Amino acid sequence: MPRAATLRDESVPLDERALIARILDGDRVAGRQLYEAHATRVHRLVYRLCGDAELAQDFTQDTFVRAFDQLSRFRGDAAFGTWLHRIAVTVTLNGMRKVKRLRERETPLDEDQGLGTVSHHADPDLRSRIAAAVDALPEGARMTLIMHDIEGYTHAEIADHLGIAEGTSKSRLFDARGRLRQALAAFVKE
Amino acid sequence: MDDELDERTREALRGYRVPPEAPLDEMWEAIEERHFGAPVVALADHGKSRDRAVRAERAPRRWRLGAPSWGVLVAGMAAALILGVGLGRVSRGIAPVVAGPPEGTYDYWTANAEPYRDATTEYLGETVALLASLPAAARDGQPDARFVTQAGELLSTTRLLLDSPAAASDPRLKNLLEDLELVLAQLSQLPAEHGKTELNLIREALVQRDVVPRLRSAVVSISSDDN
Repeated sequence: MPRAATLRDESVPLDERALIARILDGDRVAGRQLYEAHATRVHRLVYRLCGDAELAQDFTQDTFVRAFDQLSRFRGDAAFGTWLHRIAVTVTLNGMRKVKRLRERETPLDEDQGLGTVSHHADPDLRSRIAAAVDALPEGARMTLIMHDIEGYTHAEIADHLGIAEGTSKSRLFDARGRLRQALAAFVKE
Repeated sequence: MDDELDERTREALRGYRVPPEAPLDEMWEAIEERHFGAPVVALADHGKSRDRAVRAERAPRRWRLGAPSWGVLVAGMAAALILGVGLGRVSRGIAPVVAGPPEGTYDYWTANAEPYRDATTEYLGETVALLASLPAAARDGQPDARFVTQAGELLSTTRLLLDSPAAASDPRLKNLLEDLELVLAQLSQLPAEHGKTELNLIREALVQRDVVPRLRSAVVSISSDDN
């Protein structure tokens, strides 16, 4: 099934069900195996969404801790990767909102907090303009664009992970692309 | 209408926030410790782990709630305030459900969220049970490990519910969940030592505000609406 294939490293053959059973018995080696099969992709998505290396690390950790803590509730209706990525998106969104609230409420923290900042490419080229344009998108549109056009999730997956209808995902993407095109119009003509 | 971005833009888009290499080992160590408990550390590795622990102590995670520097008193007072406000909302917000949605904001309960209602009912029930066991935990002086773990699990559920369509469609439910999230975050991070003072402060707030009975009645209201 293509959906599962997009959510796990195919190079790592796993009997996930057996691993999950072992983890529930407290087997940390099995935990590590399952973690290694998914961690890179989870971290990658989380980083794309939050744009901060330290937060991405925290959110990835929280994702796996929460997944392991709730593993007994995983019914296997969907692929483990789908379930895990849903948790990752939830953790990241909530975490980002929390960081935002704290930053609004408290004194400025570190200067390098990159939540919503432009990527590290300093050259004034198309890439940095795109980064700025993407950062300026509304949250929902930005999430959808990142997940669909950059990370290759399907609309069904995005809808599942964000708790929205598939049609909403499509319209958000349409909106995001439109805004992006508009923001880049002058530049692209060059 | 062709909605696709042109190839040049798509190519540039792929360079947006290119992730650094994932620190797999470092992340796993934290995950392992938090889920499975402290790993068995080889003697030669001990210094390294200790350094890591010291670094973690010096640089607490920025987004976490209830950082140690706030102090026991502030944490307790915050818990008292939040519990009062948050759970006050429960009794006020849920009670009208029995008589029907008052102002159209309860579409969540009546229209499209049967599974969320069930999950919310279960979650509220478990929260009641947890808060009801607080006095005993405070009396014993040390938070029971299971108590803290359960608070952590309920915290996870709170966050999942927070991101559910139910919360999105009901601002009052969302506010309540956000408040409970803060309370549960504090309970789930109670220190193994010196937890007694914090527990007592939270317990006093619960008694003063008559919180547990009110939360119970909220559960009953939702359940009876379900039947």
